[in-house]
Amino acid sequence: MGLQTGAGSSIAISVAAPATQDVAGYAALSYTEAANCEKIGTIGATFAKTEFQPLKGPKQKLKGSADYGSLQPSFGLDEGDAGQTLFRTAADDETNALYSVRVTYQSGAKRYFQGRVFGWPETIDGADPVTMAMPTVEICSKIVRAPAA
Amino acid sequence: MSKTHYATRSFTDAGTLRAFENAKPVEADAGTLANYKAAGLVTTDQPQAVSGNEDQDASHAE
Repeated sequence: MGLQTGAGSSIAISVAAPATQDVAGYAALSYTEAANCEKIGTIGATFAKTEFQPLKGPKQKLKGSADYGSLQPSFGLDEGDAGQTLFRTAADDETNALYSVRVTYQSGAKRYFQGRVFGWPETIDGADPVTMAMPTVEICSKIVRAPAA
Repeated sequence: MSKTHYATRSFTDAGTLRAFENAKPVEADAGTLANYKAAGLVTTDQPQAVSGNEDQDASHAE
């Protein structure tokens, strides 16, 4: 598999939690895809950098705590779409319940994780642009990667 | 046997390309129904308009 673009990629959400934090656990869930997704965002963990400068020798750099990151997908608002409605439900959820998310790449490869949706801001940006919704999905678990079949 | 779920409003599913009409039964796997239910799109409460002829007559009388 060579290069790929974002065309054909999708994001979907499930109210259920995986039995196991692996491909089998996530793949067993039923997901509801959100329609009219324009962008998905950046997927991947980063680590805090911990540095130590001894009196003798070079600076040492260690991996600190992990941040699994966040996504800022953008959707053309469609109030009749089940996936968008479930994302909005997750945003309105005032508990710390985790939702399972699946991102499917053009190649068919998948990324799975659990997260919380922090808000569902809707943007009306003039007469011509489509009304958009741009939630923030904070990733709260390790990202599980499933290669293209 | 699982309960019949009914749409609380008309909606579509982009993943399956299915469309559902308000108050009509929604057939899907249990996980998908759980998603729809969490989103408030389906209920197991039978809508009055489709619960029988008497209810239909009553709705016409309103």
